[in-house]
Amino acid sequence: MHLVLRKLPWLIGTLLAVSFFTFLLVSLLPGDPAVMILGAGGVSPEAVAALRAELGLDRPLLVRYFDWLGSALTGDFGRSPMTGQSVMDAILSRLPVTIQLGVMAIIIALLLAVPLAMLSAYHAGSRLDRAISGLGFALMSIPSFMMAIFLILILAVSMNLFPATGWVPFSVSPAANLRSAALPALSLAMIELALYMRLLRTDLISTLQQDYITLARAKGVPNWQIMLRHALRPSSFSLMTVVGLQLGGVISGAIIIEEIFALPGVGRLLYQSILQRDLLMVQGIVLFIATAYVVVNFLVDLSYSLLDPRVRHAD
Amino acid sequence: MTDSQHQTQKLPLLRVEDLTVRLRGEAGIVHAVSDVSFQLQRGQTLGIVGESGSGKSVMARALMGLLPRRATQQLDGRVSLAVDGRVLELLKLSEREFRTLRGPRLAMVFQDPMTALNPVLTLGVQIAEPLQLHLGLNKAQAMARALELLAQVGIPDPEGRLRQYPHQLSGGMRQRVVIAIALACDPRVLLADEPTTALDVTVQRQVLDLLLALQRERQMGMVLITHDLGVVANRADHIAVMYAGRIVEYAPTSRLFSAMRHPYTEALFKSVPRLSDPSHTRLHAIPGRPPQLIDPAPGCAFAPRCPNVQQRCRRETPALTQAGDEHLHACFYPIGSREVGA
Amino acid sequence: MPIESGNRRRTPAEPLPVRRKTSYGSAGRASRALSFSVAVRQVFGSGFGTGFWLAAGWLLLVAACALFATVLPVRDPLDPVIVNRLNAPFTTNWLGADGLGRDMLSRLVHGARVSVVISLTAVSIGMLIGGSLGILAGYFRGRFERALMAVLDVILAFPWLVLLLALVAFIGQSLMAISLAIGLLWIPAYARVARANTLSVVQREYVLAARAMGASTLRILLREVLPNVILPVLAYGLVAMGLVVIVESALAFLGLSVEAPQPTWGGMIAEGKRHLAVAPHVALVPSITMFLTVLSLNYVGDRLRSRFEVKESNL
Ligand SMILES: Nc1ncnc2c1ncn2[C@@H]1O[C@H](COP(=O)(O)OP(=O)(O)O)[C@@H](O)[C@H]1O
Ligand code: SF4
Ligand SMILES: [Mg+2]
Repeated sequence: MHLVLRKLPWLIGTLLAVSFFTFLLVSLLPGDPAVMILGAGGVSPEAVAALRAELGLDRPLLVRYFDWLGSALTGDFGRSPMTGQSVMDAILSRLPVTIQLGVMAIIIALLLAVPLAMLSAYHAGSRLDRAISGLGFALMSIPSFMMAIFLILILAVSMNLFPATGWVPFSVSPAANLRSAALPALSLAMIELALYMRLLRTDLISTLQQDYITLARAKGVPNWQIMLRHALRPSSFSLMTVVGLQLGGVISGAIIIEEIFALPGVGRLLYQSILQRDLLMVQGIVLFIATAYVVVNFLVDLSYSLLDPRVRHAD
Repeated sequence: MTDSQHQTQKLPLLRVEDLTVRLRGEAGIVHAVSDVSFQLQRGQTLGIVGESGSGKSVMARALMGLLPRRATQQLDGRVSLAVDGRVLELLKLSEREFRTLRGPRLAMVFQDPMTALNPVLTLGVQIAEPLQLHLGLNKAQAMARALELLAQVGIPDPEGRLRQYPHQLSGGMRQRVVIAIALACDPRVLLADEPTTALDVTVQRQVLDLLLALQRERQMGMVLITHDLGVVANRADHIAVMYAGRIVEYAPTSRLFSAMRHPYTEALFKSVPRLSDPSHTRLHAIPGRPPQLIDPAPGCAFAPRCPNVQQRCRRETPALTQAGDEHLHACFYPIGSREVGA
Repeated sequence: MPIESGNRRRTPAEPLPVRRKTSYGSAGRASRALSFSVAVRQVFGSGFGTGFWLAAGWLLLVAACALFATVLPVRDPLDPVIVNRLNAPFTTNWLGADGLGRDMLSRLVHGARVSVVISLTAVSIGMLIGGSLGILAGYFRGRFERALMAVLDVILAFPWLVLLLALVAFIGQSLMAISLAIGLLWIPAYARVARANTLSVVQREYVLAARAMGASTLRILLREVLPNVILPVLAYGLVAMGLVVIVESALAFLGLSVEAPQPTWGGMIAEGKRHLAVAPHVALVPSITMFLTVLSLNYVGDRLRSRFEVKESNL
């Protein structure tokens, strides 16, 4: 609890800075939203000015920022001038897809990375270790959209195991939902997998050299139990941090992956809003994503205390 | 006394013959342990003394079957452990068989209590683990036993400690926990590898006395490893002095101190840190560099630093020879012999 | 995509006690900071072996293609020969033809130009701006350093693709604009590398001595600090270029990199995605080319980097 209180000002400060940056980023984008809405060419300057006034675009930047922030705090990101849809509703309706995609990707990556890293570290220097490291090295050089192409080609086109595009909501059919999410999640997972594996392997190797591992062996603890019980947890701190930090990478990947697989997620919404210059929508989504990133990493920071008793008793 | 019990009385508890260990190090093959032989009786303490780097820890780990697999280039000799009237050849055991001995038969106390305990597991879990593993106790029984053990090693408020983590204890207390873990399954042989080197002087004595008391009470055989002759002086029954991976002198403790023969033993003796010195004082008093274990030159390893050195020492390696009842040394020109200084 | 990763690893609130390496343990002496190098060494052995020269050779080939694209005896990359449409490799065209019957080999060669120019320019921009900021922060410390790190933290809260899309919308889609946008993206990473290395240099005796002798700040920065920071920063460059190739191709895949008709690898993969079922080579050929290029950059870069023993530990 002390920990939370101590770090709270930092969290709030960062969130404020993030919101201002978001606002700046989007406000500075070229292209007058009023012109975009009315359609270029053949529109009278008076009509544009009128719409600008109506949208509040003629007021000073800071005023508009605080105005926007004030409503954003109440969960009101405004309405898309293009579709008339509430930005918040649009985000919320597409959020489950992106969350499912991201969470599945991270879980798949962890489920594969942890055992592979343990095998690799346990047999450090062996041929198996080298093969696993080589695999990770190759995976690191394949961007997720390329991985998606490979997976579609092999698992969807050739073997017809999964659909190549499309999304079935969980509520409609859980099985079909998982099938439709499998390839996108796998595509996102692979590069993360390589990263996690590399990191965990290194940390495991240095943990395995610790005296307390020798002590565990001296107690007669079987090797697999040493890996699971004695080595894994003290080795997973940087892994946890990186899983949090990589969220930005996962979201970036999701933008492309959702587009490739035609998934109705937040990433695709963002991409299409950018193409349509739907600034209010872009603003809302970017703020939403950045806030999520900051908050998740804040929580990761806090959860160290769950993993590491030394942090728990720090104060 | 039954016949078989009578047998085990006479059999040494632990017999080591010509133990040789070579490790692959970064700079080459390390001749860490060469032709080490000794015996250990039930209820007795053998002190092993030598400068840091003389192969004491490697030897202890070889006995525990804990040498790094990949780095072990050679592991030869015979290590026999008497168990329930049977004699086990430890070096011939599979990893799985060896594992069942670690804890109930052989146990080890490590040098640095600050790093020997797992930082993310509670003390209770760490002490209970071997009990559950080897004695088949369930969690509650193991915890109850862990509590007794903590009390036995002299930790105040054992109940509260069970749920604590290592970082919440002082170094001396942690070492007591390490000892409790080692004793958990009532081992027959205890290897204590510099158990007090990392501790404050005042705590050192307490921990040593505790170890000795527990050893007497349980009639374990104990190998007490140290770089400090003073530590074993009135605690060990026998002392083996190790230099460059070899035992260079072996004698009952009193005899060693009254009639030491090897020049290295004498140098060690002269360099015993006084009480006023900080605990980490190394044996700076011995001139020259500590032994070189990679590609050792022929001849006596101590020759470059030895006051008695003569031509022969640089050509031949002295073998361990009898110098009286239970007294062995490996030196061509031992202290008190006629050739010296002639 | 690991832009943020590795460059910004938070340690737990209370750092773990220094991991004391005992001389025991079968594992090598992998340090966390150099995990990547260690992984590489494990895969390919030590010394600049065959792998290194193969990779370097491939990179030279790609660079030569980019440099001499217009004079190489390849077909016109924009000429649609409808009869060749989707022809497989080694038929009418060496590497096949795309959906419009354009020669894939020639498109690859011309596309290399985009990848090479953008990766060189973007990395230089990031290196110059980020590097200078990092050196100044590491040298002067204090408020400037804290402010800079805070701003970088805020920037890193935005997924890289989101930032990039906004930047591209702002700056435009010319070759230089894309390079600039991606280059700006690299500032945080480079600032961190440079700062970390400056921090370790500033503590060294010759810098302290120079300071004590009253050397001017500029002189110290240029004569003492810069030469020591520049090698690790440069060595980091090749790995960064690999990531830039990925980032650019992601942008191109979304159709937001250099505008058509200029061929780009990412664009070729995107176009190949449409023909995956009938003519997988349209996607595979550019994918494999890009994979080999990124792999080579990672590999060569890492080999060089391990030579300089880059201090990443206090990033
Ligand atoms: N895992 C290992 N790999 C290679 N050499 C080792 C290893 N462990 C110890 N050594 C070497 O073996 C020799 C004996 O070390 P050690 O037994 O730890 O000495 P002591 O315990 O007497 O101080 C030293 O030269 C040491 O460097
Ligand atoms: S053998 Fe020679 S060198 Fe070795 S200890 Fe004896 S006298 Fe000294
Ligand atoms: Mg030792």
